[in-house]
Amino acid sequence: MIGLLTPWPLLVAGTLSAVTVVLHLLSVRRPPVLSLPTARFIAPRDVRAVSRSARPTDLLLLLLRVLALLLAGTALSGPRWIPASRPLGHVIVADPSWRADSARLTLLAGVATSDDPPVRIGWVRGDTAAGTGSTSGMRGELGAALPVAWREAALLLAAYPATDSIALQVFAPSRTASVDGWDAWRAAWPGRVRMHARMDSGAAARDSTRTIALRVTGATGDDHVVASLALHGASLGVRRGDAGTVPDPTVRTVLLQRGASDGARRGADAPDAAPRVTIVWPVDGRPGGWQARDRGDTAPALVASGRVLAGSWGRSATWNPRSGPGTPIAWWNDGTPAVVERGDDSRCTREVGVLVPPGGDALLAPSARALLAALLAPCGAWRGAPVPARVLADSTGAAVPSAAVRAALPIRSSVTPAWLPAALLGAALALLLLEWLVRRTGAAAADRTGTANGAAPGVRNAA
Amino acid sequence: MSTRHGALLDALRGVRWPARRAVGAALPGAHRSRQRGTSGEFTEYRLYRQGDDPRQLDWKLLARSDRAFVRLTDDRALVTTWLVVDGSASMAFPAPRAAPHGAPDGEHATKWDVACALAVGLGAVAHASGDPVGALVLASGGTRRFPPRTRRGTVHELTRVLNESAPGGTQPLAPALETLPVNCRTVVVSDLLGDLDATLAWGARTVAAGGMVEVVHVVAREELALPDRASLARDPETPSIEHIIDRGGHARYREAFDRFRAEAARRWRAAGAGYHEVVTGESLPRAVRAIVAGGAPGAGVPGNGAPGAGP
Repeated sequence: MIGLLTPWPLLVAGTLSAVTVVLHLLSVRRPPVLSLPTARFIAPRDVRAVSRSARPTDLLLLLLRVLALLLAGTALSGPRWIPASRPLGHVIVADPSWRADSARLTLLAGVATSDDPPVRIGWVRGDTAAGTGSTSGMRGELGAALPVAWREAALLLAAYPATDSIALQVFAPSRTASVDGWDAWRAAWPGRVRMHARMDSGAAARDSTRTIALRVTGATGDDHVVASLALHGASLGVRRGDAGTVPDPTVRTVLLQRGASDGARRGADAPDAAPRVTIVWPVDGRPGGWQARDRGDTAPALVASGRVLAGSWGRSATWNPRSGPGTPIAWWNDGTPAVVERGDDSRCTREVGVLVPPGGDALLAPSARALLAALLAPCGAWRGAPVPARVLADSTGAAVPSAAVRAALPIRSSVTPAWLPAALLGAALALLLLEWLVRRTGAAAADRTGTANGAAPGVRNAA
Repeated sequence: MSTRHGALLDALRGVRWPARRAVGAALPGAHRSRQRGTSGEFTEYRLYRQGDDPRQLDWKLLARSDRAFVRLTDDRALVTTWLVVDGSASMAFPAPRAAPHGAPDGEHATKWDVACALAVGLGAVAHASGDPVGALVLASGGTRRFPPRTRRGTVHELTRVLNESAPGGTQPLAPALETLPVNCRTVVVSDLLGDLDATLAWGARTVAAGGMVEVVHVVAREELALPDRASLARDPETPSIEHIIDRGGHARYREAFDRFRAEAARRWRAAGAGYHEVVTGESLPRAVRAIVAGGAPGAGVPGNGAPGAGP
């Protein structure tokens, strides 16, 4: 079958054809010829006779004109030949967390890696050094999959122009920080999206601790962090001391290391500590592995737990992503991480690069509770939420037609076969020439009327 | 005899067609002769003049009156009747319906049908008076000449000649009329849309030379009442003449056509010929009687195209 790149010239041709049909119904025609011997006594005058007929006259001329218009419209609409088969292309957009599970990915997608049908797999690139713990890519915003989907769809159509429609599958991480972008961009993909999400260990969701057993090491007597914990700890369920020898799922052990950076980090590996959360908060504000600033400065605000903590906060180090994977859970007002969590959902270390000057009361303000809550939360709690069920259930609709992708993206597509528009235009011109010939012939035949007359050959006597 | 004209001939049985004027020297016949002789019907006495034949003296009157008178009588002569039938293309109006030769007095009779019927009727009347009847038919196949005859099957042969002819062509009448003798009665049956001036000139010469000319002007009813719808009227003999006609132009057309007919009647009569107008659809026996009587019903009255009007 013939498909069209831009149908509007054909629509214009169809409109002109309809107008032509109407004109054939209302055309002003020559009146019928009347053979009248006394025509010489008629005074010359102009008379216009508009006749209306229920059926269009000159059907042959009408047919030729309409066909010529439609052929010309088709030629200008960029016709292309669409084979009988309707190949379906597959685009798979996956979170890097699926790399280690690519065989399962292929199995879930239900496609082979060969070119029939064509398949393209796009990985949502996050921070390469951050790895699975980063909140960039789909882990930070699920909607990051959609721009990748458009890109991969365009590449697929460029490589396989005969593709008729595209099916999109998204392999999402187990958790994502935001689906706002997904909700905003979802409507731009005019088709079905089949969602797959990694299993969430759910450690953070299943956390049922009601009490936090806090152990503090390396702190002095007038440590203001400890003082802040003492002030706000009750509302957070904090009690000083160990968790006890009997493991209690309702108690989360938190170790707060206030010693020097090196010592604090080594302290996390101490064999006698079994905390699930280790808070490394050096007094100098430089956790191990962080880059020391040439000059310490202060920041007017700190963001944690969705709250803004205004105050005069000191910072003397900057988190170095190359030091290992980590998930920021608190940020300075300029967006740089202030607190980074490392580890997994069962056990983690939170490195705090916040320098609280001695005598400062920033941690004593009620807003500081948000920072403490972030520090004391279960591991993985700030790595986002599981992919909502409504997003996973979004599998309605059909595969996206290739035309929709081509219309949205500047994909170079050629008219195939290349001779088809020229052939259609040539046929239209031939029909116009034939119409001219038929019109001339019809006019000449209409003028040849009257009786068959012959000259008298001579006198002939009757017998 | 063709059944087409059977009713017409039956209706014309016993009709006589006297000559308009005294004819010249000819064979004895039924028409008043210009010659005065001693045979035939007594008309008057005349004083005997020197040179008269003494055998023509009426001796009884001489005995009674003692004066010599000669008995005079009128001679009767034959007059040859030539029927000239115009079979040009304009005579084929209106277009013949189912049969090429329709009923001459039918609703859709063409001018040719009526002309043929009039020629047959007049020929039968003339033949019944013992006059030789001849015909000249100018039709699509050329000019056919039927020599004057008095024998029994003359009218039948005339009918056959007319049936074998079909209207067409644009032959002028005047050259064919010039071939006819002058001392005869010539009846021209035509629609006068051809060479009218030349024919008029021939007619004037013929009448001046002692001949008799009768003109039967055949007019179609459809030429008097045009269709209401707009049409492109085209002259069948002159295709270059074509004009648009609609209801708005009917009055002017009728006025021009009436003027033409009136002028033709005036000119023919002024030339000394008899002029008779016959409209298709009229009663043909009445039309023939009017012609032989010297005036067609309503003939010569322009604008009166209704049949049956007039004396």
